[in-house]
Amino acid sequence: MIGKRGGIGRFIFVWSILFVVLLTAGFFTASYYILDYADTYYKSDITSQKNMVMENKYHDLAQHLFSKNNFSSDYRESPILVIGGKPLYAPIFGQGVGIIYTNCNLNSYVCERKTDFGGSLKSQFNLQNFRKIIKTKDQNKNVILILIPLLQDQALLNIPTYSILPNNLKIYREINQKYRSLYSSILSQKKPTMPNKINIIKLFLNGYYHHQTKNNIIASVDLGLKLSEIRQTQEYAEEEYQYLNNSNTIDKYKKTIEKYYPSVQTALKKPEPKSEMGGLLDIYYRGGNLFYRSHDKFISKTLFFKEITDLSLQLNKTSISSRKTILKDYQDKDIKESNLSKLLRLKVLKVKMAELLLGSCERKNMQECLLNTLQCQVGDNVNECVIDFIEEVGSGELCDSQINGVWLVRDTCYCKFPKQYPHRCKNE
Amino acid sequence: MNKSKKLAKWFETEESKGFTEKQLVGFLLKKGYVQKDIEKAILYFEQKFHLKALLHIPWYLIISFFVSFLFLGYAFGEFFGSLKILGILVASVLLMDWFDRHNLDLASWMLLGFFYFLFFFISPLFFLIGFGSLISSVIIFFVKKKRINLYLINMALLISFFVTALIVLLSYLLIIYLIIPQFPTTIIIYLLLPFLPLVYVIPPLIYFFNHLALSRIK
Repeated sequence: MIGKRGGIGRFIFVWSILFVVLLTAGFFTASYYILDYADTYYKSDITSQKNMVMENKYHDLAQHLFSKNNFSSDYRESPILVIGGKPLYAPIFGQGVGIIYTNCNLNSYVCERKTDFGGSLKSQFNLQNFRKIIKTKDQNKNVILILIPLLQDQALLNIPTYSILPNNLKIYREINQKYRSLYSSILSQKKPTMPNKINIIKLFLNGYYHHQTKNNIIASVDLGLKLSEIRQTQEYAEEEYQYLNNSNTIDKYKKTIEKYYPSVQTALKKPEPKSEMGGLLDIYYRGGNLFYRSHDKFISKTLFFKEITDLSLQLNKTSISSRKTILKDYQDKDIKESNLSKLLRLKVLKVKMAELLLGSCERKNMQECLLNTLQCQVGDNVNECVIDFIEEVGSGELCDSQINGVWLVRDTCYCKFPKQYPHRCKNE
Repeated sequence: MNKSKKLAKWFETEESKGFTEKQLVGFLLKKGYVQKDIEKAILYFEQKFHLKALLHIPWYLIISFFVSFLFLGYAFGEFFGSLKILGILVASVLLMDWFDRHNLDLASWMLLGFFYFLFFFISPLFFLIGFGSLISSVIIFFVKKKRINLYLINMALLISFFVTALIVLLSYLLIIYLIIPQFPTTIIIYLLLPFLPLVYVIPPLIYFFNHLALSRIK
């Protein structure tokens, strides 16, 4: 049969050629995808984080301008995009406006006011020097435009965080400094230079991109945790400042903190609840039939699997360390500062402790654990116990807490904070 | 029964008595039949389902097919499903033979299509293998200008595909349990390299088993 016309010899010959062609095509396709992957990696690596920082700082700038000039904070904005050397923005922003604020001073937030708006924005301003246009109203209800300039990184970092807290408070300065150092570390990151195509493929084959992707995810999660920690601190302090009253005293706050501090210490010693990443890994531990068992054996040898496993462990560690450091900055109850700053600091500490306690119980014995942790009696109503605890802590933001196994009656909870939530309290 | 069917039946009877196709065609031409009608009848005769022809497939290949089918079912956690489909296959072959004897060709074709549809209920892999053999047999059927029995080539290819699948699976397990553990943890591309020779031998194996299955059939 072999060698015979139309026999297996001819078939193998034709198939061998086809196989080589398929392999070559596979090689080129794989190279294309590797290069495409690397291209995306180098382009999007830090850019999204930097954009986030810039947006936040421009937002701070806008809020300062609204506040200092008594402009309405109900605004619309259009970014100015420069494409092919031509600035583009939403055309609606150039219509029906007689007053334009420009050349804003970044310290005093005073801007030049121009009223002779005769032609298009493009004809009056070199828009390539501006980042965005904001449309809002001044105190006389006149529609105005504010041209927000393009700023260098350092100038952006120098814009203080916008907050309703007085700028001279120690706690405000701490929050501002935390934002600044976090943003500064993001903006100072250098974009890795893209190597040539052959080196990209070599790096890919060495597992470099798997490793870097894992590191980037860990860094992003870490950044997200840090940022949310600072934001929450600011929110809790602002909440307290906005609804200050004489019944809230430093001594009263200290007492509450001392009451729950032992429970917090116990909660911090508890092992971390099982990470969500465990579910991801379960895909690879399907067990079951012979094929999947062998498949798992194969997958467990891949670098991808190793990096995923490492990622899961690292994220767990990051989460644990974030839990442990969450109170660190506010633990010093005897720090020297004004009474107002101390009151806000204690409030932040109190709310963070409460958050930690509410999230410290396992799903299986949630009710019993919560009653115990929040120092209620066995047999008490858990919902009432949690709401009383939230009222004692004095933060309406805790009413939004998601507690597994406990159906929190939110309306009742909001009613404990009628000033903050006048429209959400439906019981009274 | 139309003229082609009658002639085909006559061919079947006379061939079983030992007459060759050439002798029978010569006889019919002398009797005044038109060459075109005779060719049509031969084509119809060649395309009918023949249980006897299927039984010419070597017994060891048929046993290998049954073993492959059941082992693949076991490996993918569908042992009882594959057992059921094997039962349906045997029943279908007997039913198609009955259809053949009663000249119910359309029912025979429909049963064949339905049988492949059932593969999907075992697992997508079975469906792929079965469907692969069906498509291949249809391609060969048309490449050979329909002068080949589609049922026969289809059954031969089905057997070849499943026996090859068993060999591939066993080799895959051998590589996974003996060769892959020798590799360091690395990217998937390197780990896939030992499987390349396995991919290469798949079509020649199918070709070889198909030849083997048809080797005893005239």
